Amino acid sequence: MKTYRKTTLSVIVIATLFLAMVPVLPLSKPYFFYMMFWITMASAFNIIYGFVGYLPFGYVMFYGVGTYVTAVLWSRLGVPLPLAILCSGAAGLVLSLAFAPTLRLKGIYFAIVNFASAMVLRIVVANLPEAWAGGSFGISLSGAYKPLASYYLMLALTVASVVVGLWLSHSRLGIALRCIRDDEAAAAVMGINVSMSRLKAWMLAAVIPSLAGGIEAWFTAIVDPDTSFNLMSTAKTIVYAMFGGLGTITGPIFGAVFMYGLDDFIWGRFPLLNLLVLGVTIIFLILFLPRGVVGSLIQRWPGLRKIIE
Amino acid sequence: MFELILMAIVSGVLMGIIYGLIGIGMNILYGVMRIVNFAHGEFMMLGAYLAFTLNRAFGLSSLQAILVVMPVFFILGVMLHALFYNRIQQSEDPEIASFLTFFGVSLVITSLILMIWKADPRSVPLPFEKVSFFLGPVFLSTGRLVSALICVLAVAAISFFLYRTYTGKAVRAIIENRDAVSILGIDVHRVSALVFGIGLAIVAITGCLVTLSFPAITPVLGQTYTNIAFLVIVLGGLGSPLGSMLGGLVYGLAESLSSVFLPLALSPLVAFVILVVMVMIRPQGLLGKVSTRI
Repeated sequence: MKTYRKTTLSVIVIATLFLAMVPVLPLSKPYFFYMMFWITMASAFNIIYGFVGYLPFGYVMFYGVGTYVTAVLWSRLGVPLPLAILCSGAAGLVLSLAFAPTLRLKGIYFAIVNFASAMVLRIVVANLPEAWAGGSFGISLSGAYKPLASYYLMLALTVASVVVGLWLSHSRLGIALRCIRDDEAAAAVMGINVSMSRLKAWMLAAVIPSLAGGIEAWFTAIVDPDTSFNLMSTAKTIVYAMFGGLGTITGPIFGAVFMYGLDDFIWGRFPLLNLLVLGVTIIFLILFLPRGVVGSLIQRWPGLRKIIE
Repeated sequence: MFELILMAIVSGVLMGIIYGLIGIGMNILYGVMRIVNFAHGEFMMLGAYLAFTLNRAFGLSSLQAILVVMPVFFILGVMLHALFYNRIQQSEDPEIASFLTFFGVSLVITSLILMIWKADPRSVPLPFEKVSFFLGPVFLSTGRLVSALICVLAVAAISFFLYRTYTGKAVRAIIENRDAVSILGIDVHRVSALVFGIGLAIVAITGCLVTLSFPAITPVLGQTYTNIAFLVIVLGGLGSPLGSMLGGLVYGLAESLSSVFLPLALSPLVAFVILVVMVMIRPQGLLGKVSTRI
């Protein structure tokens, strides 16, 4: 228990130090920014799908609302950006509470309703008066463009979400969530408050992408409905998290780093193939590697659990 | 105003029949195999593009194209069954696994369409002298009328198959209770393969009809049809093939009536709101029975 905590923590510290150095090194800042962004998204998604077993197929809506809250608050009301980003997080929380009744649904029903909700939000946002949300052209935040500050803010969020995942997997709540995922009725009989535990995980899984959305809006300095509510963002989050291994902490991180790297490589050279590769990867993962790389390794050699998690 | 509403109702019913058939194609797969075909719309687009090419290369009309595309899609369905079925059934949560697998398939099809046919909107010339006509005060599009008629024929054929043939009864029995059916000695695997083929053959019909009912096809249109199919089958009841017809009519009417009263950009909103409300209050659909699986 103690040894692996030491290894995990030292890995996190080393990775954080490296990522903190990126802006002074001759490395691409956007590349590492988005790598962190996807680690954050995949880790947060892992909380609701990996731990709870709920597939929110409209997961992008939390991110999308996050981008818009920050953009609107800053550009229309002049709210300072760090505060606006905090408001994005709060908006994510509110949104998760608004959609809390959907947690009654299971399996494919939950996935479809969540997906439809994301579509509704996209249409609503795109049709808001232009004076509020910029219509289909979106909002520019170029006046606030500060790549360095937003880079470090994303680093902080990434570290926070990984640490939250780590904490969760050892906490009472995390254990309760796994019990619920495996056998809801048994968990309820054991005295676990099923709907409350689920709601907590749902809120946690919503706040993180909303904050990430706010920070990302600051980093790119542009927000528009098609990007903010793009189905592909949900897809990538799922694929990255699954590739590494859902239910593990290192899985989504590994998946995001590897797959984002691959995606970036292909996107740069063969833009048309990008979609094809993503599709084939999804099919392959679901059919042949549902536990992901890290998950399969752990399943094959359970002893690995002591070092990686 | 009265005429506007009358016209909305007529076009809503016509479109509703087409939407209903789109729903049946997806629903029969779900009912029999618990496979959520998230690539439904993309398969339709593939069918539509095949109709486009058949027209360009051999001068076939969209209606003649159906006869060619249908068998091709039937074989495609049987092949997909052979590829995916066992793997999906073995996974921990087959429904979600199929959903994600077919999402992957949808991306593959979209990218293939983009590579082969490029991103420009395409259209197939209509095989009619008159593209539209007036029936009393009602303005009718010939393409949509013909499409709706073909859909009615297809639905009649499917109903005959499901209710009057031996295999069709097996299909319905599997929808009802697949475990009991395998005990009774029905080869679930074979029936599933057949249903996969039929499901995609239905997709082929609707795909070709899209080129009749709508002015143009684009590679990214598939998502819209998948959404419609979802909506229709959730309205009609997941796993209840003929319920999809009712779902399609409700959706078609909701869509055309809302376009009379709401701005055009907001009319898809109605669909999604109906979907969310429907799932929240009556997940088994308008006609569906209370399912033990929910």
